[in-house]
Amino acid sequence: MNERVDADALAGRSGGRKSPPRLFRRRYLLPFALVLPIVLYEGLLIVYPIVQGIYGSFTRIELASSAATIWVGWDNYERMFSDPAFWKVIRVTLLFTSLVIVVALTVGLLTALLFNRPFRFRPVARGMLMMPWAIPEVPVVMIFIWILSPQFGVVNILARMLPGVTQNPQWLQVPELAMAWMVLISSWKAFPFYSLVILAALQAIPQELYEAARVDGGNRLQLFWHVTIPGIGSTLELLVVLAAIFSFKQFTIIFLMTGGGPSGTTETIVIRIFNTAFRFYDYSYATALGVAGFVVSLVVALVFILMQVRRTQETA
Amino acid sequence: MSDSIERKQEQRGSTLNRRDFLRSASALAGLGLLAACAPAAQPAGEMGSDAPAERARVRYLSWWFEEGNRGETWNNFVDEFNEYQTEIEVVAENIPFDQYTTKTIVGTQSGQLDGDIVMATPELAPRLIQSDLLVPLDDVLVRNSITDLSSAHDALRKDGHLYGLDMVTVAFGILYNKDRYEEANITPATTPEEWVEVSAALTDREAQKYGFFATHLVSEPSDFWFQLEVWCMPYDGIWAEGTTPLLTSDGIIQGLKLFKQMYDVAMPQGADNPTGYRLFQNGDVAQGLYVSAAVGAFTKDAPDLYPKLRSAPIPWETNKSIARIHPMMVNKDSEVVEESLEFVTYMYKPDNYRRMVEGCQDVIFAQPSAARQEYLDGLEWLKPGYFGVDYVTPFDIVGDFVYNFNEFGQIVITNFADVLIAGKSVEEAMEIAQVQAEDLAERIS
Repeated sequence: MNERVDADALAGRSGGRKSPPRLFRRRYLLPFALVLPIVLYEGLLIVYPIVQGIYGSFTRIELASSAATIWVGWDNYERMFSDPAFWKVIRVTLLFTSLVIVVALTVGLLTALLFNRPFRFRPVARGMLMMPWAIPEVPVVMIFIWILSPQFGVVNILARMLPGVTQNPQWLQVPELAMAWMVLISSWKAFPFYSLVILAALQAIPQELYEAARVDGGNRLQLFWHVTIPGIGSTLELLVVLAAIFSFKQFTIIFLMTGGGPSGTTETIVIRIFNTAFRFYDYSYATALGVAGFVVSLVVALVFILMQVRRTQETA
Repeated sequence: MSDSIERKQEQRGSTLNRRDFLRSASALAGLGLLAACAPAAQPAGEMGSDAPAERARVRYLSWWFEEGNRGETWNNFVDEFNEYQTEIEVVAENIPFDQYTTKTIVGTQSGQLDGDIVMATPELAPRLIQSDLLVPLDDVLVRNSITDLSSAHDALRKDGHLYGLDMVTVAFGILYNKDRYEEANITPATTPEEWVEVSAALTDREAQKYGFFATHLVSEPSDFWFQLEVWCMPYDGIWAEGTTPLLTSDGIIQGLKLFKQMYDVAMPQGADNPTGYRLFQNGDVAQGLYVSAAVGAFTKDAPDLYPKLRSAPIPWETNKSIARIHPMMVNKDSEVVEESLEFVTYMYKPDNYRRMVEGCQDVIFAQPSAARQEYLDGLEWLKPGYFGVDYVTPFDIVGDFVYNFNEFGQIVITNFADVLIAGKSVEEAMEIAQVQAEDLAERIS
């Protein structure tokens, strides 16, 4: 009897019982009330703009004009698919994204392997490793603009030590060099994060596996290939997807350093979207390009989800 | 039993349960919301029945409130107007130039034109006029008895009404450092060919001395196009007529070839705009095509250079250059239209207008009769490069593309950049640009 009363009291049931509607509200409506703020936030600030963007891509909108918005159906998409510049932008985006994934993850993996071994001042070196990632992008751009200046850039001194180089190279004006620098700077900025995540994964690999492999006569390369890589495989998969998404939406470095030039060789889809919307005020076409970018990101995310599902099934 | 219940109830009473927490949080959020919506607290001195009537607040948007002597002059005029009368308070709001047009256009799309008084560029002004966003300003002229307004204002009229009043006309001219000319024993050129020779003679790349600088990077599209548009002038070309692009016409091809020659023989290749500006300030660049408004800025930015500045005569037969007007406009949807018009009227009083132009060190007067000869004679750099030149407006050289100025410019600079760095011929690049501009014309017409 005492226990029953106590339980009722603890449950807040004054008078020993509560009316069913109140109990229903608490048990079933409270969770919805608690998630309501985040649903509203997501709905207003994420879902609504996406829906509005998709809607905008089917219309013709003249910014700052008295002309009414008109429904044009698939016109913007037809224009996009028949526009050679769009396909060039897609090629550049895929090239840039692939190169950044390869360079940033390779450097990230190598530095993680290095920092996984004990050496003097390792904590200090680890801290310094994170610096490129911690510095905001705009100062990074300003520093590199100075480093690469054809007139004052320090990198010219190094370049002119090479045989045959008598003039300061125009680092950001030659198409191949410009793309190379965009990849290098973006990778330099991103690799510490990947390195840190890989380092955590490396430290989670049981040492017994290495010992067993050594007992079986495995050399260093075999240990790396048959123990380390499988041990960090799922982490690498995740990082490939993250690197793809991060580099796909890279804007600041490219926009401020080359603006997409020279000759459009560094113009990725986000630069194109920005220019179309905010320099040309061709808002409708920009939203169509935005939808295309969204679809590509969605595909990357889906690939990752499928990989995760497959891995989970394999593990089970 | 009852003791146990009471104890537990007391215990619950002293701790915060979920419901209490939610209730308190909602109450606090409600209070916060109310506080945020409440009008801003007034200083104690302004409260009470004896407080003076509140001034009507007029927001004046421009990009120049932080620009050297122009910013200083305009801020002084705003203060002067606020002291001159007691009913209106003009508040100056600065927006950086490279964001100004985009902010205005996007802001307009998302609701209404921001600000009560807005400045505009030659390209933004017609867009705002076409969209019926402005108040006619004819009354300002009547109240100030102005009858000699410059003909550049014709582009600011619609249905017989005037919608903008020019506050600064900037004109392109060749500005040079006289010390560099004297060291090289050079006199200003009189033809485009001579100009290339003069620029080459002033260049020593090993010593990092250059004869000429103009922005030429695609990463600075606005500045690149802003300067490149002038290069149709040397051979009397125009970029477009109406909605017909003329990018393969002789005048354009010849003008761009001239730019390419200057790039090859005299320019710090690959230098961005701040670097070029700095090289000119240091005397490492001898000359450039500068708008007259920029010259005044050198008094503050480069006081050592300023006394050495001179202008060269326009070295092409037509003696034409581009003049860009920047009108002041009043927002039709403003709640303080009358008050805004008061400020515009004040600024356009001939005497105030003259003081403003002189304070900014500008040289082209939208009210010609307001110009003071002693002032103009005192500017050593004014003649001959910025004086007696035949001025044309962006409307005259880009036709209807003035409404899509950036996009048209982007087509030109992107293709022309291939000439500068990828070895493409001007003809080949402009043929591609012509097709792209025709596509643009079809889309916008």
